[in-house]
Amino acid sequence: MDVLLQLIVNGVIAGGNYALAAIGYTMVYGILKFINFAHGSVAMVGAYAAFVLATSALHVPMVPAFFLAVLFTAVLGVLIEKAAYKPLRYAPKLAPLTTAVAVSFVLDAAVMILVGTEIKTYAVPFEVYSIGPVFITSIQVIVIVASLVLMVGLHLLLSRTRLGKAIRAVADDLDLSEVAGINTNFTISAVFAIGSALAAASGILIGLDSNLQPTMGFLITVKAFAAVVLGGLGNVYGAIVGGFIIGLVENLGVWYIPPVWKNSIAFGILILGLLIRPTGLFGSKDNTGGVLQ
Amino acid sequence: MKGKRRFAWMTGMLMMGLLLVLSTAPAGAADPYTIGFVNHLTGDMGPYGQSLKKGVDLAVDQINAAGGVKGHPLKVIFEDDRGQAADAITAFTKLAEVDKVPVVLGSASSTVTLAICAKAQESKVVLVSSVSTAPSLKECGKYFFSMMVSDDAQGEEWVRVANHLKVKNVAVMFINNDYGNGVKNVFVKAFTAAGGKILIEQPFEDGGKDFRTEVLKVKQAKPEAVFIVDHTAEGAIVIKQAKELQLSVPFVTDVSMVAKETLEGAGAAAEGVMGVRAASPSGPVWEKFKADFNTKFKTEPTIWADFAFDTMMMVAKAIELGGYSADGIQQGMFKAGETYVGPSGTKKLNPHGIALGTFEWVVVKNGTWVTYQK
Repeated sequence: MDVLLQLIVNGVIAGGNYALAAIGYTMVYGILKFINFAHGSVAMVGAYAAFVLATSALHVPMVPAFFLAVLFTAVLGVLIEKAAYKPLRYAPKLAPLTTAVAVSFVLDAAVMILVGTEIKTYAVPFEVYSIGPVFITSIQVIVIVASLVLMVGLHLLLSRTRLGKAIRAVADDLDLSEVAGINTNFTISAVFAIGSALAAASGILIGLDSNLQPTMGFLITVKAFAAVVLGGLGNVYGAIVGGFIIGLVENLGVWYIPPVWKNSIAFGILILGLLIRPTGLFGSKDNTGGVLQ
Repeated sequence: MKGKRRFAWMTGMLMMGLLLVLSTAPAGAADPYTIGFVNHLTGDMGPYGQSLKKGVDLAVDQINAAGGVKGHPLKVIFEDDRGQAADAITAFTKLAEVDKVPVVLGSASSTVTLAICAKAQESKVVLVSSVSTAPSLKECGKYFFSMMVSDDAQGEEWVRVANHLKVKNVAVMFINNDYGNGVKNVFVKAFTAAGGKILIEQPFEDGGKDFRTEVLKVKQAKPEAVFIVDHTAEGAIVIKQAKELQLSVPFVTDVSMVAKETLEGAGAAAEGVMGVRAASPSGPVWEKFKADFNTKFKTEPTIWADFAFDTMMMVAKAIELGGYSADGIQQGMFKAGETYVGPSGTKKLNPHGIALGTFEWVVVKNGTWVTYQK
């Protein structure tokens, strides 16, 4: 029982990270209907931006460094969209998808060249708390709280603001919302800014919890992809639920089966889920997504 | 007519090819001796390859500044294998067949080295690995050398550490690849034979970041000590997460985790962790290497750079003693090993071409590895 509780806590920590990464991924799909395989690399760049700000000559204190890094990554996300995806907006969907893979290579290589291939750490000290039989560190508390706050914030943005309404409209029908007078270019930029900022947050939280590597983006992309498809492509709440399911099942699963299968678990759930419910848990029937459905 | 023209065209191409070959072939005494290098320069294991490259660069600088080998400067062709066996084989084949090098400095990962080792025997090119230590490498063939003591010896050294700590029921955590399994198997066999009990053999995977469930499983087994083998990146996270989950028993690491990278990765959680490493002359040889490394790269020596430095120095010596050919180098290596002392220790070789060596025990104190006082 004690072990089960600890496993669940561990699963929630992992799931929170996956969910944060999955949100931006699913929002881009919801709006532009293409799978942004560069998303994990954007998360990685966010994590490194914080590292560079905190450790380089700038010596920005850790907390402001995290916020600046999130901001920087949001801007980077918008620029990537303008440079790499916007020219391909009406091209076949395979074109932006392939471009996204290329973008991820460019980002990974740029970090390797600029910061180096060595493993980096934020070296933030942590304390261990025990709640009954469960152990949790101060960093993990931050991870869980931060991911919950960001998710609630996103929910409020989508449901209560004009921008949220515009995002939902564009996700529903890009051409029609343009006709209706919505500034679609601005809305798409906003989606990339929000998605990249959340990606940066997940990259930073993963970095806080373990370490930084230029190649860490790939694993984030893979896990977020599984979460997104499981939750229903294009659905924000589906992505969050999908992220937590994968985090939990992975952690519980490794208790019973050899860890060599750990990364296969994510895809195992994905395949099972799709067999039973091809549109994902929260996907719409025609699988066109929609950020809020 | 058409046939004739094609013939002329083909002859032309052949001539051009010949010209290319001739222009790259050695023509004078001052031509460089070319040496191949295959390692992980990018990818998950990129940091190790980059570090080894630094060691080789430093050695080449010093050799060439002193006039080269028998009057020939050394030139190293660096190839990246991205930590993948398939890429390594392509790179090795290119070095052996296009660049026609007689000797290749091999990859860090035992898995990758095992893959190219067979190729080295086949193409009769000497393969010298700096730090590959899988026990199965000794059966690979006469054109293979390793500059680091084999895992057989490492596993046996762990038994001595266990006896010293007076622990009888232990856990082993190992990275699930040829290297991790190699060290683990030797230790498990030797420790059980000596009357000890292995409570759990827990593998963990390359490239992961969340090992909490693995750590919990070990904790549930209630071991008196944990022996862990990895190449630093994951191992450091395991140590950190073990601390988080209050698995508070002594940890003993293998040779490759005794590095500053483990300390950076695990932070304060590394305090008190023990490890074994190849005994190195901490005296003037090491100090000079450290100073030279610092001058060139503006940093303390990175992981295994000393082994890579010694690999290059040994190969240079072997060329001097045996000549610039695969068989010459193959024989020269044993002779060179008789007397060589470098920053990573002595390099006397066993009949399989693998460095013998003695171990020392270290422990993390105030954030650095220091010699363990028995």
